[in-house]
Amino acid sequence: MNSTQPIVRVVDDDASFRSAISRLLRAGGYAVQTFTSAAEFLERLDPHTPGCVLADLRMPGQSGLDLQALLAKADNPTPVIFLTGHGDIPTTVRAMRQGAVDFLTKPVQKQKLFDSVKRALARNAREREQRAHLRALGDRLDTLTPREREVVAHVVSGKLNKQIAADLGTTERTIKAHRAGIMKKLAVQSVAELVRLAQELGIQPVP
Amino acid sequence: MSAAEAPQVRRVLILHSFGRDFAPFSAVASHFRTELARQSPVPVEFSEASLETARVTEGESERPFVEYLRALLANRKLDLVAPFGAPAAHFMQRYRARLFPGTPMLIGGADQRRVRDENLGANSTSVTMRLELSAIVENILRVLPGTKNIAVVLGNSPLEKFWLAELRREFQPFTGRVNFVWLNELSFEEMRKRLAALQPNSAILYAALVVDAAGVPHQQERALQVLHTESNAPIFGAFDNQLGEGIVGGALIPIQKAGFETARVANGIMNGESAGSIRTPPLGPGAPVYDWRELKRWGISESRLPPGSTVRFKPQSVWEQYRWYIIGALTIILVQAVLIGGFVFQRARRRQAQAELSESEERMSLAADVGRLGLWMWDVARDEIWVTQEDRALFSWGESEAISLDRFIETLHPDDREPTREAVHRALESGGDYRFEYRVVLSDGSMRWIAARGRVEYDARRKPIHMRSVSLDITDRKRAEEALRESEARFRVVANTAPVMIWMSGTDKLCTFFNKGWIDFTGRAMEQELGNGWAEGVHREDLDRCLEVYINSFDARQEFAMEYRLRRFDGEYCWILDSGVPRFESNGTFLGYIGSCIDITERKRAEEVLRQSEERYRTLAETATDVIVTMDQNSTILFVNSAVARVFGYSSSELVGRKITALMPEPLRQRHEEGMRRYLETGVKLLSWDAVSFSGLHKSGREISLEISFAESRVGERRLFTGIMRDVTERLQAELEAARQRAELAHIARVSTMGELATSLAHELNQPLGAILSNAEAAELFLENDQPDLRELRAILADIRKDDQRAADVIRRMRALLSRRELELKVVAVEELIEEAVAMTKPDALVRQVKVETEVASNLPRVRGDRVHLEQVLLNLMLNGMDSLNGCPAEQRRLVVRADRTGDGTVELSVRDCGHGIPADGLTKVFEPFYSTKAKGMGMGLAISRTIVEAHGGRIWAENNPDGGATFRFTLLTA
Repeated sequence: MNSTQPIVRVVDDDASFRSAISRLLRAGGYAVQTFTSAAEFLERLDPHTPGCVLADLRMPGQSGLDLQALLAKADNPTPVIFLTGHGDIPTTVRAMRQGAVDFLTKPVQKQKLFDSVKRALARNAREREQRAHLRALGDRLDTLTPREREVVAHVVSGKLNKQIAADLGTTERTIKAHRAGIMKKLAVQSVAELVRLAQELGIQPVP
Repeated sequence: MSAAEAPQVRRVLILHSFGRDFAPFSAVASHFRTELARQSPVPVEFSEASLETARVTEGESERPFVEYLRALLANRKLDLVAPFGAPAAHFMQRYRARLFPGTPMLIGGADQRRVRDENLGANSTSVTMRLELSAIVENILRVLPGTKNIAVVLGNSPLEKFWLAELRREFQPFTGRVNFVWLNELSFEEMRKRLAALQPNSAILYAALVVDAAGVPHQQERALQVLHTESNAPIFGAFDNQLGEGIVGGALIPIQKAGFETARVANGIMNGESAGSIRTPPLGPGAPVYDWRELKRWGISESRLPPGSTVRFKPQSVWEQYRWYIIGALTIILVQAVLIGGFVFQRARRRQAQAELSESEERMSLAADVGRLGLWMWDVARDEIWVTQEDRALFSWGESEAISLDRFIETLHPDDREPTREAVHRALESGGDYRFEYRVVLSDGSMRWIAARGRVEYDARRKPIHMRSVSLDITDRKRAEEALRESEARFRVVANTAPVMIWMSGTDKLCTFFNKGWIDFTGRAMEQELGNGWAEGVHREDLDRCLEVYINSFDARQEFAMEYRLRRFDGEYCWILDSGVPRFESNGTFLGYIGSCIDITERKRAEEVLRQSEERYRTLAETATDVIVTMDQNSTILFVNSAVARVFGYSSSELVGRKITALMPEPLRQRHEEGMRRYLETGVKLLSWDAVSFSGLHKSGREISLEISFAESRVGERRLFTGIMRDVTERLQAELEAARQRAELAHIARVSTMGELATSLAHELNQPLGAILSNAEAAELFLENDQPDLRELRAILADIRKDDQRAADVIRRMRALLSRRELELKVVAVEELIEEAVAMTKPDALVRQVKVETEVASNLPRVRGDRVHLEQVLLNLMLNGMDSLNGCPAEQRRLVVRADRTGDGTVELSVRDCGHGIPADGLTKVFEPFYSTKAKGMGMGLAISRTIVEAHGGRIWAENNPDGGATFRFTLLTA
């Protein structure tokens, strides 16, 4: 399977519905994978393949909501679309609050289904991209020495080299050398750029 | 020590209020003493002390007396302290804790106004009296309606001052009618003067005289006796011990009874009863009683006395009894004298007179002979007795023998000599009339009883000259009396051993005798029962009627029989049948009544039961709508009751003589005739004769539903058939209506079950619908391809058809449940039933995370029933089971549906949950309508389930599992 091709994973205990919906999705041009229960899905889940989950709310064993909660905890959150025979308001609210992309009721119109799937896949792609970017930044940050990380924290808090040197018990010249090394390792041109990067990576400024 | 514990003697302290001899307390105390000594199982030692100070003052200068008592009773353990009268009671209440801690106290002889139960203190009780003050005045006004003044004799001690206030208060209503004169400020001497010169129309009320205004104490009733002699107006009192001492009478407080009652309570206390727990109602006045002598003295007619009154002290003297003989004799003497006079002065008529004289002498001797009457005269100075020849004969004296008093006395029976001599001397001293009885021993050794009555005559210096006398031979009477005594003794023996209760009364209606049976029954003393005492034991509700019957029968000298309730010794009232007959002497003289009683409590009870059942029967018969018909062997109606009009529209007379077939619809007539013929020939009944359902024909031609029972009876050669026909048309209609209502209710319940299942059903239906839509749209998309995959399209169409079928099934099940329908019994496979119910509840089970397990035995027999209704029961049980699991952790939410054979050939289905179970008292209640443990429950589900199961001939019940949760089971009959 092409790793860039997103997969729509259908989780439903009703065999008849499962085959019908996967047939429709395939006809719509999507790659489809089917699972008879949440447990089976979790067992066979490949977190690296992009895609979304189309799950029934009511299933024996773990329900759709349980599945959603488990997915939210994973590194690689897969968006969930719920598709159910009958949804009550409390369940719908809970599902949406937990980040469900959509909440559809059976029988579902083709267009509505495809729109939801498209939205879910787009969200998944966007999130994957973002995560890749952050991972790259993180990799760069990992190249800094512990001393350089300390200096970064001081720099992003807006302190002058002299103040930093005093805080860290060294000379202004040494700090200057560290800053140059940091700029180079992180491939940033300005302090402003460094501050934005630090924010993205979640580095807290020194108070 | 142990020997000392068994009391050898009981010690009682009697504390008098004024002294040992002050009425009425002393009289009560004295009866108390006598009776207690008699009743007590061990000897009683009485100590007595008097609170003398009460005469002067109450509550002061008592210290020395307290010291005295302390010294008197030092080292003596008392068993009871009994103060008599209010002053003594009050004293004891003040010092008891100090003097006799722990000793029970019994207050006697006091009026209830003076002793309040709530003030008694611990371990104490009282037997009080209840003086009815205004009733005393009412009594005076009743017997002497002309009374204008009532002088009240009352002393001036503190106690009497209390009573002065009470009397004034209670006599208030009489002001205007009567003028009260209060004598409490007077000395006794002054009182005597006042009372000897009262205005006409006055009466005296002798209230109490303990200490007069001069400070002189008056003991006993001596003051009353003095006043009785000197006063010029009738005296009334309050206590029955004053009767005979000069009071007229009325409703009086029974002093002896008060003493006895006090003794009874005292004995109870010393036998271990807790004094504090004894409450004795105050003793009120008894039935009114009057002194005959006073009535005569003041000219009060007995007719003025209140009903039920008793008159006492009525003389039964020789004079009264033989008055007519004596008058007769004196008349003869007078006639004789006249005749003798005529003899002297009318010589001309001498012969005739002589003839008359001899005639009169004859008459006199005849009279004397009849009455054995003797006349005699004793010349006191000369000690010579002149007697008639009759008397000489009577005394066996010689015709000319000189008789002195000694000679006379000599002739008497030795036992009577001294009493007679004394009686003669007493007569000489006191003067006036005298009477006595004595026995004379005749020369032949025989003995005669003589009654003598006479008068002493005096000279001017009040020296006795003559003593005249009439003497009468009363031997026969005495013998009769003796015989009577003997027969009475015999009677008593018989009466006392008789197994019934026997009473006797005298001519005054008062009872004179009760046999042992009666005394044993009432447990009262003979003295308590005598007179009108027995009436106290009669139930209050029966008393008036009882007395009325007794008095009316008595006055008419008629026999009577009456039933009333009489208190038995144990306090229980028993029904008594009392039969009384008048007693007459052989000469017809009325003697009173004798009666016998038997305990008919059991009979009364049985009567009551019978009466109730009769009442029920009568109510039934009156409201019965059953037709009762009697016919002969030709089916001709001989009798039919009036209910036939209501049921068949015919009147009784229209039917008698007609054939019974007139009441049958056409098809039945022939069957009846055949069946009847067969039965008469062979004795074989075509049908059961007991409660058979039949159709009847109403006069209007309408068919009615009947339930008929028949029975045969033979009268000589005739064979009669009696039938009871009940119109059950209405009942059948009612049953149909009930069935319809049950069906309606079941329907409503199903609709509500549907409501509960709505979520599940929506899911159930949307599942195939969703699949159909998706498949259809997928097919559309596939068809857009240039070369559609036909295999795929065929698969899609097959799936669509399958899902459509699935949706249709769901809808069918829903419609079945929602439809209004009658019970349709068919052969049903239990497995399918369970499968379907599990399928319908599956979505619910999913949402609630309940694991539903089925355990169905293999090769189960099929059952007979209505599939939809049975499914409804199962669904209901399953949904209930799921509800009960709500509070449980998800992994424990199990519901087991089982089906198995039972020993008795039915199939048992059960739904077992592991929820919270059912409260023990709810195990049967859950099947009652409107019983629900669920907040939103209608409380009908299980009630309808039961109706359905029972309509199938099965049984449904609930059990709590030993390991938690509940199991609902029901059985179904196999097909």
